[in-house]
Amino acid sequence: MSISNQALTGKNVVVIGGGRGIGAAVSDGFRDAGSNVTVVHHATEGPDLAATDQITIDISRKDDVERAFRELDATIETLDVVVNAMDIGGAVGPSEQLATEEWRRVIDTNLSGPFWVCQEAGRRMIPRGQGSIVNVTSFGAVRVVRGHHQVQYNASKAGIVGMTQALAQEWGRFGVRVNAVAEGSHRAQEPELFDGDQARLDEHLAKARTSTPLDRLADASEIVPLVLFLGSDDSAYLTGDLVVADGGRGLGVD
Amino acid sequence: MFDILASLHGKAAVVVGGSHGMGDAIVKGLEAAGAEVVIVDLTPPDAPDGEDAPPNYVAADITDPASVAAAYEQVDQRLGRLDCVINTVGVSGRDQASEDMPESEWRASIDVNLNGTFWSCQQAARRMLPAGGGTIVNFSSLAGIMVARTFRTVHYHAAKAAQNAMTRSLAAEWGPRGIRVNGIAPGAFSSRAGAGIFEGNMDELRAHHARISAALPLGRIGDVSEMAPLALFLASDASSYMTGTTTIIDGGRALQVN
Repeated sequence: MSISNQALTGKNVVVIGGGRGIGAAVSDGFRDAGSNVTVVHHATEGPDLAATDQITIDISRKDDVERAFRELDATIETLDVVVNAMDIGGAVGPSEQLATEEWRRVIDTNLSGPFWVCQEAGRRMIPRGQGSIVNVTSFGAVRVVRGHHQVQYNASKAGIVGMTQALAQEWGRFGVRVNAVAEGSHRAQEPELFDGDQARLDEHLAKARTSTPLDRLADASEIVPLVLFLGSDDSAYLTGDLVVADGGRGLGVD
Repeated sequence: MFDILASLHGKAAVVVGGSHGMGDAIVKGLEAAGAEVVIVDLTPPDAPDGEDAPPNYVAADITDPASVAAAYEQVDQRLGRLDCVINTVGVSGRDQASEDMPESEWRASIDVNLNGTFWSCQQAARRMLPAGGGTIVNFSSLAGIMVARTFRTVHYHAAKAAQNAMTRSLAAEWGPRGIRVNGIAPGAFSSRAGAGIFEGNMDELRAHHARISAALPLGRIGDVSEMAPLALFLASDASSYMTGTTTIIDGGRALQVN
């Protein structure tokens, strides 16, 4: 069997966070493969969204996740693939001083929110006996970048992996697969990472490149084929996996 | 963008262990993607009686580095270039109490399950490094990560764990020079190779698979055809930022414990 776009043609795909960054690249990728893609935008993404029929979501609120999926029900009869690609970065600083609200904010958005999305997706996929959920996590789930103190972010991202494994074990019998992908640093890194401090961002990315065996940052779209692969039946025997695309950065110790 | 077939079209590939089972499924997948493939294996693919082995087959004993080197020289003559190498050999050996394991059995398992893959990686890299790059995919096993407690095969477990570390080391070392090296850790699949632990008895293999199937999250054994897309994915540019990984494909078996 070879891989082809056939596996994704006509499939109904929902990309949470498909309005920008990795989510937008993933949405384009599924569209190119012939899937029917519905993008769910972050609630704060631009006032124009309110004027259109775009579906928005405040992923940090369970009731809003439920509402967003009820809206999706109106236009999508069978849910084939759901991609969790929405997250926030979080403040960088000493953990012993991290504000309670900052911890909660990042955990709610980056871990609880994707869980509620998985719940809504699972409730629709389980009765049909099929479906694939792909959770986009990050390098912070597997390694701590020396000097980069972002415990709330790393914890939330590692939590995605535990959640993915638990749901995969639980829902496998229903034909629902759940996998996670972790990407390394890419060129289109969110500028808000250091509150707009470009010099610090450049230094952060330069360090990433130096410690990566492939000796370069990823293109923003380089994770896309992996997400498509895990969303399609070409990966029918994979579930509960964390697949890392980090250029080998996580391999080494100094 | 997601066009794995396009990225493998015209590529030159070697599948070590490509004559049967999983290796054969991968050969067929590569050929369907338009790659030119040479099979390196101890025995040729099954051919109708009286027919010669196919021209894309090269005989080799992977436990012998000289045999592997000679095989790759033949590959050079047939392909002229080398873009992908997929090493699929794994032999579990028989169930044997570790305290009684003969030295010869230990050595044979390390030879075929670890050393052979290394000799092949060396030969591959000697061609890929001067050419600017390539991809290598090494078949490992769940046994390299977990313990299959039903059978006592410490040599197999040790060899495949070592192979995983080898994959990581080679990825880190050759990454700056254009070669990506990744591993695959299969769970229980339907190929004949899985019957090795039962000394080739397919009935016993099927009974074993029936026993473990129900407990797997996906409730079934894998079919070798399901392996090919992952192998092609890792061999192709679709995985362009992945290196040093070992991807588990096991229906969720490794997730859980009783």
